[in-house]
Amino acid sequence: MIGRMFKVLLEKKLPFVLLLSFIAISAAGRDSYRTKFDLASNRNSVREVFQTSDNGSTKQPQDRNISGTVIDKDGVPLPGVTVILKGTTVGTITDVSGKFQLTIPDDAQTLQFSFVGMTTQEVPIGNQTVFNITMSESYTELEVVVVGYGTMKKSSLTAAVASLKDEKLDQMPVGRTDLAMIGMLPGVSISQSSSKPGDEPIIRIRGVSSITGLNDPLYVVDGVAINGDLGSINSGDIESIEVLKDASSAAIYGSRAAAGVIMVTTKRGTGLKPVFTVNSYLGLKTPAYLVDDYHNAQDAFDYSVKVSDSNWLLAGGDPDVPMWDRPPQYRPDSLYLKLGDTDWQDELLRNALIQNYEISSNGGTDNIKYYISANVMDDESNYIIGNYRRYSARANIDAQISKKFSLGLSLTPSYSIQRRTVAVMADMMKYPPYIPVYLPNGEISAADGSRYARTLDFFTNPYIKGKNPVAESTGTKDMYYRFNGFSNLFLNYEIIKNLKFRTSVALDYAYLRNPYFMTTYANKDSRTEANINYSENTNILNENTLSYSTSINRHSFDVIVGNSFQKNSNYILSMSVTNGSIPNNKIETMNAGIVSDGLTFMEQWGLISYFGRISYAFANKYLVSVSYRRDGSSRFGEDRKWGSFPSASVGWRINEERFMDNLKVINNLKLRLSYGLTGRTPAGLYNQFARIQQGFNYTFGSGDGSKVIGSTQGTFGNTELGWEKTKEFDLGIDIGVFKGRVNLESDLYYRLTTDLLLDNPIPGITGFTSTTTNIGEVSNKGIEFLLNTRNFVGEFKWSTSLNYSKNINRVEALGDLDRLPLETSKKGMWFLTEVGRPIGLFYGYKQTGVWISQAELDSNPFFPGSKPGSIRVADSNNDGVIDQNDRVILGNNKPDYEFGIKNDFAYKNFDLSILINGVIGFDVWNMELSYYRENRHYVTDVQWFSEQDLGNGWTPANRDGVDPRDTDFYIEDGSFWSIRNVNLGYNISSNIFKRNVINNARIYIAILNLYLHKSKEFHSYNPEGLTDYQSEATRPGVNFGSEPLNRTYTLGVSLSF
Amino acid sequence: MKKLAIFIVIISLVACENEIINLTPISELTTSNFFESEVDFNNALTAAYDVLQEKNSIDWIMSEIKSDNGTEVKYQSEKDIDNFSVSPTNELISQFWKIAYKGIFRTNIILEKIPGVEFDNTKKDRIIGQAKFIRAYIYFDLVRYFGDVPLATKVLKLTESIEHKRNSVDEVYQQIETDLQEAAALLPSVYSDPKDIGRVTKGAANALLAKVYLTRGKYSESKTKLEEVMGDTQASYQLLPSFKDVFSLSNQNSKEILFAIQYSNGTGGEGNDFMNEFGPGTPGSDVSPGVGAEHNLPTVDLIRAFEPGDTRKDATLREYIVHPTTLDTVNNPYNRKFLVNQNVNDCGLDWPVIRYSDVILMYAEVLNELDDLSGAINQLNRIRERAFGDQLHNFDLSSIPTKEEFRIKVLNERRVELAFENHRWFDLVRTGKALEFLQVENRLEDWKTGAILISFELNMEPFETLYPIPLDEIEISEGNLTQNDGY
Repeated sequence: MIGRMFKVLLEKKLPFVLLLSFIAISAAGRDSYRTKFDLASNRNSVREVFQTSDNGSTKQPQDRNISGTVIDKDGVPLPGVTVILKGTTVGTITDVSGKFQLTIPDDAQTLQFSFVGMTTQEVPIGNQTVFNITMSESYTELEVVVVGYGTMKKSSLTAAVASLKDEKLDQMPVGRTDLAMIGMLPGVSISQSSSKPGDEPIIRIRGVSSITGLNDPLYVVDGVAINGDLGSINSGDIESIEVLKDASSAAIYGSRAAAGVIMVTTKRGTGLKPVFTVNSYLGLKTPAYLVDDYHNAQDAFDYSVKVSDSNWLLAGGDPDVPMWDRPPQYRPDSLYLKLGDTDWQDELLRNALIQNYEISSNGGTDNIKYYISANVMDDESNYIIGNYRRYSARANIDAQISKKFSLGLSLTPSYSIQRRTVAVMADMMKYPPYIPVYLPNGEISAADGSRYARTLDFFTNPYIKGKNPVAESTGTKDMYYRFNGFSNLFLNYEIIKNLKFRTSVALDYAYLRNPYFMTTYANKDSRTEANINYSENTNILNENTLSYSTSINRHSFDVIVGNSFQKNSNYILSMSVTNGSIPNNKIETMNAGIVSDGLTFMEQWGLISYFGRISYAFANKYLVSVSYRRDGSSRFGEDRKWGSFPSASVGWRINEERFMDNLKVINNLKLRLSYGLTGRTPAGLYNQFARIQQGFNYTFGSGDGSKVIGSTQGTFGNTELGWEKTKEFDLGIDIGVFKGRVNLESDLYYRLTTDLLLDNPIPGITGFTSTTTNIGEVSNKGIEFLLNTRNFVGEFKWSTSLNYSKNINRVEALGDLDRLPLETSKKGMWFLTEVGRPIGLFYGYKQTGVWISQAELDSNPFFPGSKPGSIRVADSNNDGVIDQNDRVILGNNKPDYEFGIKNDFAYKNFDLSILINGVIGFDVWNMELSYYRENRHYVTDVQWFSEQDLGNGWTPANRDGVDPRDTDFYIEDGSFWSIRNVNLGYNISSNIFKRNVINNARIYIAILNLYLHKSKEFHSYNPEGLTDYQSEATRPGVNFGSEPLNRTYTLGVSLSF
Repeated sequence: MKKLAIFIVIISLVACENEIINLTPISELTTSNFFESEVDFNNALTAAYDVLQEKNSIDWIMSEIKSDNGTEVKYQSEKDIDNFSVSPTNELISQFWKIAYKGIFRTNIILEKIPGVEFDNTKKDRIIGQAKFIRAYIYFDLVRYFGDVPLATKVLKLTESIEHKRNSVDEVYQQIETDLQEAAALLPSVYSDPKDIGRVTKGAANALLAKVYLTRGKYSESKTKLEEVMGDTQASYQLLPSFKDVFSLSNQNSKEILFAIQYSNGTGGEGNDFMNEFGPGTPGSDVSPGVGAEHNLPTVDLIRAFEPGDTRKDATLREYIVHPTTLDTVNNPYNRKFLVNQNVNDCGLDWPVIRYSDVILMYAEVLNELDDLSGAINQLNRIRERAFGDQLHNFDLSSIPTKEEFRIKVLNERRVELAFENHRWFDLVRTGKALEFLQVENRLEDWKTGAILISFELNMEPFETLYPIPLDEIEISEGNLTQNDGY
């Protein structure tokens, strides 16, 4: 392993050199940067710069130096505390040992010390030159969370909002922000269904509530509802992530909030002297949790001996006839031992690198503040091909134009290149081990001119035809080029004190270009194939709000009203060439072939919204919040365009009551109760229209006639279609004890989704057979808790964050139906969606072993065609016949519960954090195992071969009877827990850097997926790996062979200066 | 500044609604911007014709397999129809129902929209005439298969469709007659443009109307219409000299064809798959490559209905196949009327709906019913002379002395002349002979010895002259559709 690591590092040393020179250049350029920025600011800081850069020689007599140390109440130094001369931009940040130095003008008045989670302190300066400050923790009182169209003190919150502020989010080597959030938030289930770099995980907030609609949350970035997901956002730019889980917090986003809302707030300028931050890491990814029981060539031969022998006996052959005297079809093929011995897993997987480089600058003046960043991330696949590289930049600028006027601008271009593997792992791994990767003796294949070997090169009728997997992977290019240009301009105007008007215009433009090219040596028919899909999305949003907040005596009010206009346009282009018309593998673009098929398509949707919210608090004790949103959507007919989404919530801060005064141990106790209504629009944009479709052709004319194109109304067009509606109750309790050392947040919820959008049969006399209608109900109920404890404070620090969530999903009604028509996958199995049960259960025959003898078959009911060795299934309804009525529920892909545990330790200059996550009690259909029935020991070693050689496994040599894919044969328990991430850091003391150029430096080692504990009966690569129907609620848990997870060893450095 | 803010709000409130939430599809037309020109209506009419091909792929199961002409050995839902054990859940009748009403919908939307659009009246009339014919043709089948059926003559809204009840047979026939009378008035006898060959003509409408009248027992009205067809000098319908030639690729839309469902080979989707459906599954036949699915096989009763010397037998079916290598002959009857040497799933041979020989036989029947027996025999002999190639097989008053005996002769003549053309079931029901003929079906004989190998007790009961209303449709209608008696 170490040898391989070195080999890769040597091959790829370039990035390291890049990293080092990047840091060096950044550090060297730091002074000039600072001078440039500071010249633009006020005189004070200009003086301060002169002082620093000229080593004190031009020091002005009226300035003076102050210094000091900031510690917490346990005497532990606090690094990163902002020290600022109040009312100016003169300031600094404490170093690792909590120390700071500052040059201030003689007439300076007050110093301000602030730090996240601590009470801000102001200290008069006077003649003092040394300041030793002890900061105290602020419990939760001052913590602010972002909610829809505003922020709120966490203590006043009456809804269920999960908040994530993690400075090390960008230090986890995962390539995408959403993957870094796994296990961190209760009620937010994020599963990594694919290990392909750049692929998005499946995110479900409080379960699945829609049967046909999308269950993906709405993403709101800096207040703007975007069209995409978090893929284009650099983790380092994120200040905080809030998830609006209950309907009362999400209802302000109305018709799109039923699956929850994920809000991202990015970093903005502080208005202080510039601080540069660099975070870079380099990680070595190794394929993890591999399968180690594949057959080698000898095993394949031995197995073929057994199968041939078994077939001979089954056919009534004389067991005494020696094997080599039997007819050819009953003889093993000795060629298996003569060709090669390929470990395809080894050939198809590799060690790979993940690299991340980001730099940001944060600063400004009183009037202009900025946060600017740039990021390059490169994530290679552990599969022999595959890569994801993303370039992104961000400029967040805020300007105070006048006392009342301010404006802000965000520009966030990002561009990514992803090469995806097309084939699934199982498709590859079923290739026989006795086939070499390359033809022997440097031969060239006559079929495609390549050196790759195929089964057909050696066998006339092999059981697997087609190209070898190395040829197929390397010869297929499936590229995704994504550009996302997000910009947002906003303007604030304070009309009178506390009454603010804000207007914003956001443009979210994205394109996706997906060219596909298959070479002759990858294609089973030895010909080239090429096509392209291109799509463009333009999203324009204008929002206008008026907000007012005031406190009169013990009453405080926060009011916001606003409106929002959004329009989204899609443009799609796709083209393909006649297969084989590109004559060689050298040119991949379609100009080289004959374009045979192409189309362009456009569609639009729009949304107009009016909304408002009133929050009221009495004596900071009794809290009430009411919100209302009215949405008008282009997706519905005239009478159904508008929908209303109200919500209400109340909170009672019991710890503020007088009777709690004696219970000092409880510093926070709050009860919350909320109710809200949210909606979901149908996936189709024009359901209300009866659309004209083409292709209803006929033939007229003399002789044989010629084709005449026909077109007419092809969809029924339901003008009565309306929203899916979700109502949700949430009861929550927040408890803080021991002065905030232990905090618990817990929520119970009940969520009912009604008016589900289902394709429902309609009378044939309409001329149509079905249309989308609002029928059916689904409920989700559950419990969540988050427990934060600070176990040790002082020099050795240890804090723990534990979260747990459990959700129960149930179909409540399906109109007149008890169950939806059974669905099936392309490879078998049925999926049941039935009233009274969770959506999308595995459904089929219950396997009870294999038929071991003809005698056993003769005395029991069996599936038609069964023979000894066939799968035996239960006569579930005990009617003495095995037929389709014996199908039963076989499993559920929805977990019993999920949890995450994060432990943070710190001692002196070291810090360590360990994240564990677990998903318990869910089934997956590992259909991929059916591909391995002839080449993995765990399948072949237990197979039934004859009445003398019994086994409890199905024999593929005898394929009669029930197909194992229609039974629970391949359903396995996916439960797992894993040590998801370990991050060990060392903070380098700042005084080792010359002239204190660097404020903070942290070197860290991060290990992703250190350990995975999975069920013993699980035989596939990734328990959460899914390959098909991921967005369909009714067909969950289908795995045809997703790639292995990876373990990543990372070395990183994070600097600020 | 305050004014500016208010101004922005007001502008955004007012201006945007239309642009943002009143959107229409960009890349697709809708019913609100289609149906605006002659081209649109022609496209929609083509889409209505298209349903006839779809319907025709089930018609032979509903009629020939159901009757004593064809039999089925493979698929359960077809066997249930063949064996008189049709249940209301039978998928084929449900499919037929949906396809039929899809066709009706496509004509209804044309007829509903066309009055509001201005274009050349002659062209408009032709579109209306064709649409009315198609609607009447489909309703004629529906009313004969199911009895009372919902009579939709306009585009239905969802609630209307759920609440719609079955209309009486009389109401449905009234509409069919009106539609066909109007179609005959609006349509030309022949189309001058060769590109229009295959469209519905005046003759087709009149002949179908004559059949409706015949079915309803309105013999004199039927006679009038049949004489109108026979006297149509422009169309000048006639029998082709040889029966076999009627079903050849080179004689499509010939003088004998009043209306046929059009197919063509090699156009991408406009061919039929009857070679696949009806062709034998073993090699050695005269046309089929031996990959057929062997549906709609001739019964022994049909084989025996042909008299010796009848050229039609050879053009209609075969009793055995000679194996190409062993030269063994095997009992393998198959229906070969629509088999041609083309791609098994893409054959161009049209499917005749009304042939001139049908017109002549109807005329013979009508004359007999109107007590002109010798006139009737003369008409019948026209068909027989072509079939046997001589006058030796002609009938006269001595061989058919009574009206009742003529009824038997003409029924059998229709059977052999029009075998596998989807007439037999309707003829049996219309003439009240179904119960008599459909008690036992002989399905396989040894062609050499004539020994019956397979015989099946059909035991048809009176209620089985109608199919059940599909159960799924009854359920969707929330019980507004009722079931036929007996099911």
